[in-house]
Amino acid sequence: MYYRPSNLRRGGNKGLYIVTALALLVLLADMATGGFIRAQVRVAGAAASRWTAAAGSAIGGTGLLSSRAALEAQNRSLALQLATLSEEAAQVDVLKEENDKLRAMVHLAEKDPGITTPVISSLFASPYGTFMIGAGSEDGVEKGDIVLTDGGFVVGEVSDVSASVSLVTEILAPSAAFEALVSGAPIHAEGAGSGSGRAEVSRSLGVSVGDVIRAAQYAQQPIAIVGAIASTSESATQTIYFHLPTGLSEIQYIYVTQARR
Amino acid sequence: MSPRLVASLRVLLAATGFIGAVTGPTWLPVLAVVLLALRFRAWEGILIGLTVDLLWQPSGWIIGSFPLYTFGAIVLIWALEPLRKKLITFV
Repeated sequence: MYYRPSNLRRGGNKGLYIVTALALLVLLADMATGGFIRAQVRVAGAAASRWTAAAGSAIGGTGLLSSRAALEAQNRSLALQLATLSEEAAQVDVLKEENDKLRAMVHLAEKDPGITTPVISSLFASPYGTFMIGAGSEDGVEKGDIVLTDGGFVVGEVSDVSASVSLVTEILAPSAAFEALVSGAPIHAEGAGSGSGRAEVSRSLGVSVGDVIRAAQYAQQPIAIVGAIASTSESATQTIYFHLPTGLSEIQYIYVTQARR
Repeated sequence: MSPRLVASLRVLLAATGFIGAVTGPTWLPVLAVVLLALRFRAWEGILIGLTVDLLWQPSGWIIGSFPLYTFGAIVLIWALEPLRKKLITFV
């Protein structure tokens, strides 16, 4: 074993200079065109996200990444199911579940006009607390519209709109800070991402697990429920941790409507 | 390591970064760019950062949010250039 100097060529930065300039040019062009370039990238990204999810499901379904014990247990279970389960019955179950989710959103339309749209990207891939939905300006979506779960909880606000895809910024995005209400008292809430957040409140405030957190900026519409409360006898404050009642990963469809402020 | 293995590793890291940019988790593209920048003049690291910002960052930068991942990748890859030039390779 011996040492030898790096074999990087001198003056070989030309490619790096070109790509750096290209990246800055793309950002400037995107800003100049009002987000046209990122709109195209998002359409491609949504398609790639769907393909990756489908590929992952296919690989997982083969049992390739499972342990031997898990495969044997799965084999026994599948053998039992095979006798009673048919492929058409499984398809009917999937369609019924989608139908139930969409039907649960009908009551939202009775209160506020809007549209139901699928979430078309990963809800955890964005470092900015954003995700994509499959509706855009062609469907009447506008910047500033709010996005609700089927239970009527505000998930976020539409921050970018293109023809067929829109970007939603979560209200509980990492580092987001906003005024909220709990038990009728104003609090300063902070987002922690993944549909959760926290707030420091006075110990005298009567807060319980399950209380609803409401957003002052959205006409006191609900945004989360209190999941845990942490306090010590030495401190004058208590920390409340809250989250969306529906797990973020379970959201397949959301409702987009104009914000009430 | 053989040049072919090194090239394959670079392609694998770049692919991991791009897949992570689309599907997450958020630390995957960061890790890919850091590993690429440590060993290569990885122009693809800048493209990974640009992809993350174009996909996920709300528009209106400068006035709105800053394209952190693009500029972070540019700074990281250029800042590690002196280290790469002095890199000692074990054979």
